[in-house]
Parts: sequence; structure tokens; C-alpha cells
Amino acid sequence: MMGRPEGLKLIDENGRRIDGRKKYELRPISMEVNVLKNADGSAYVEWGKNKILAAVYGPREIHPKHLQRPDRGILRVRYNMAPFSVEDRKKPGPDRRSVEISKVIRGALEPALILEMFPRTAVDIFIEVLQADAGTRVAGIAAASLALADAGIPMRDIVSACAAGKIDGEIVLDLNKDEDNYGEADVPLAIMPMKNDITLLQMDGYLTREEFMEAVRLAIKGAKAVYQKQREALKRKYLAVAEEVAGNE
Amino acid sequence: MRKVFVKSRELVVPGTLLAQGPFKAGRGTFKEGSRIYSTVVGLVDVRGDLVRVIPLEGPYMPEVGDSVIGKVVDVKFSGWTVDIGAPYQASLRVQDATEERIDLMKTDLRKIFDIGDVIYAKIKGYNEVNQIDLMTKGMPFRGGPLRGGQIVEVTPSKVPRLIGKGGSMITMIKKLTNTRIIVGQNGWVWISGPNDELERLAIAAIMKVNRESHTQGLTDRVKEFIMGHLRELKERGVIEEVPSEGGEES
Repeated sequence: MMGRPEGLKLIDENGRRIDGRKKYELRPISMEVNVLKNADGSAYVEWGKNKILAAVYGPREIHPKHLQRPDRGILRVRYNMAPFSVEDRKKPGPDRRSVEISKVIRGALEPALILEMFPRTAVDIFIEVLQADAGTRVAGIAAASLALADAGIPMRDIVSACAAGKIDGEIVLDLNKDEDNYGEADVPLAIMPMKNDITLLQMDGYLTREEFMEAVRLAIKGAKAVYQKQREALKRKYLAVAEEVAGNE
Repeated sequence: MRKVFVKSRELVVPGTLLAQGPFKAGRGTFKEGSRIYSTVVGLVDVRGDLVRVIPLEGPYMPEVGDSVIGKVVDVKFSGWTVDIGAPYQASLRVQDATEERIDLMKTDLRKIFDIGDVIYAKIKGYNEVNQIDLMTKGMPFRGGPLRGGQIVEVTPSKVPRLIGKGGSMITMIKKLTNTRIIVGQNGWVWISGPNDELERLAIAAIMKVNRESHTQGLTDRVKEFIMGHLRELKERGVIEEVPSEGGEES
């Protein structure tokens, strides 16, 4: 690919990637819910070097009135990258890329939400990327979905997400920045794990049909691992309190 | 075939399979085929054939007959707009506000309730188009406005826990801290005490209930918590005497 440093090998002779991971290994992920006081629900996710904050407000009445839907609530998503989130300063404000990502994230989360319960309202999600290192849309979906559950908005399932890709001719899980830049393809995917429904599937780069299917299967596996972490993070908030209480007695 | 996949009072997250078979899907759940799944983070409650999840977070959904605390956000020509923490704003009409007849031409509605006033109202109606009608007529304190004091918010689903069996929890907090507390079913709580310290202590106790609502033996722990702080306050000379532990009628 263009601008690839001379002699850069994304996978070494031992089958290790540049950050030492194996082919099917996720980056370290940590999640926490209820990190913002003023939001109805919030979550903070660290996914490798990605640092993402998600906040949920609502359901609340919206104006202007013509945006209201008499039969259901609407979902609004804003994905935003902080100017300091990438190596070269990013010009603040929405751009073509973030508008598109906001749109696909909305599509990824909407099927899980039971918005028919709140006609004429809106649920607002704000996803702030504080530090980016490839795969921010899937990390953003994971964070947003946690924040929604934390806000107590009824959902059919927690939406979970992960990406797979192709580097140096091999299909691997969860690309980081260098692998994304100098690799051959990136396939982000979001699922509702209970029923294996895919709610987001994109591809950037070139894959054969077989490679694509392998990437999708791999990303689903990754998303399921992320799903377990999401469940833990949601429960931890309450179990921590219960333990603390039991410890005092 | 009936099958329950979770224990009673188990902590579940959205999308958890709860039960399969001829069950009724209660609040906090949805049914797909014969399976019932949870839709919120909460505690499972299975009673007979009803499966429900008591949410640990979530917006207030109004129900007719609820007594709520609200804040006046606008004064209109013949009524008020009130925020009660629900997804929709509520309205209070003049004829539902007071017993006496009011001549709209001669009365300034701001004299009754002004913007920012805290009121204690009953939900008179909640219809399909999500219009919430309130009523302050016939409410304690004539519906307000409640002067002084502070408002704190707890999760609406935890209000029963805050009140306790037969009001045990809230009565205990009120007695020990010597404060006046009104709990709205929307989770808004109005607190007014003789001084800042006691008011703050009552709020701390309420927030403790809110935080630890899903644990056992909460009433005793809250009592312990308040008593500990009361002793401290006595040492600092803020209060003269620590109320008796039993919380008997005084």
C-alpha cells in the first residue's frame, strides 16, 4: 500500500503481529459504565489504544415538532473525534467521515432499541473519541450500547461489535492503526449476539468471497468475546456495591 | 413445558433469556415465540406465571394516580407546564390547581405557581398521545409550592425501597434526621431540615438507599449510617441530642 515503510512486516516469522498479538487475538479491552454524572447513561471504553466515552440522554421530548414520530421515538447519534485524538490535529467538528459513521452507528443500534415505548421522543447518543487507534466505530458501538443499557432504555439485546481484516495476506482479528493503514482490508461488524443478527457490516479494501466470509465469522467471534465483557461491565456496577456492603458486615 | 433459566432476584442485563413456556411477559421483558427475554438491567421477579424485571435504572413512566413532585417550567394563559422527570412534560390546568374559582382576567397565575416553584401533584390523566395532566387540588400542602428545602433524584423503580414496608425506611430517616421529606413516585424527593447538616445527612441516607437498593439488610445499615453521623454531629455541637435508637413514637 501507499507510503508503507520499507521492510515493514505486519506478521513476523513466529506468526506474531506488530503489537505482539496472535492472529485471532483481541486487543486488551476495559469497560466501565456510569462515568458521567449528568448523562442519563454513560460508558467509557478502552480498547487497545482507543479511548472512547459515550453518553446517552433521553428519552426526551424533541423540538421542532416535525421531527417527532407519533408512533415511536427516534434515535440520534453523534460520533465525534476530539482534535487531539489522532497524531496530526484533527480539525474539530463534523466532517464527511464522522457524519457517515454516526449514521451507520445509528443503524447498528436502532434494531436493538424498543423505541415504540416512547412515541414523540428522542434518545440522543454522543460518542466522543478521545484517542483513536483504528476500530473506533466498533468500540463506539460497544460503548454506546453500554450507555443505553445504563440509561435503562429498553433493549432487545446489547449490541456488540468487532472488526476483522486482512494483513500480509492473512485474515486477522481486530486491526490496530498500522495494520489498518498498511493492511489489505478491514471489515467492521456489529451483532445482536442473542440471535446472531448482524446490524452493521462494512468492508474497506479487497477480499475474495472466501476471505470475506472468514473475516465475518472471525469478527462475529470477536464480537461475542466483547459481548461477555459488556455484560460483566454492566453487572459490575451493582455487584461491586453488593460486595462492598457484604464486606462491611 | 415451563422452564425458568434464572434465579429469583438475579441481576440480569438486556437480552438475557429468562424463561420459556406459558409465561406472561411483565414489565422489563419481551416475548418472542415462547421465550421471554429481559430488556433492562435489573432484578428478576417470577410470580406464578408472570415474569418481570425490576429495573435498576430508567426513565419515569407516568401512571394515573401517582403522586409526584414537579417543577413549574412555564406559566401559560390558563395553566402551567410542569417538569416531572418523565419523557414528556406535564400540564396543570387552573381548574385542577385550586378549589376556589379563578377569574383568569383578574388573577395573575404567577401568584399561585410561578416558574421554578416545586409542586406536589397527582397524575390525573395520561393518555395515548402522551399528554400528562396533573392535579394539585386536594393534595397535602395544597400541592405547594414547597418552599425551601432541596430536591434530589432517585431511580423511580427504587421508590418503593426508599419508602420501605409500610413506610418504615422513610419514617426512620425522617425521625432520626428530624427532616420533612416528600417522596414523589417519579423519584424526585423533596427534603427540608432544621439545618444544613441534618438536611445533608438525610440526602446522604436517601442516596445510600438509591445506590444499595439491590442489597439485603438495607434498613439496618441506613440506620447505622445515620446514627453514626448523628453522634458525630452531636460532638460538633450541631445537635443537642442523638434521637433514641429504636425510633419509637415520640
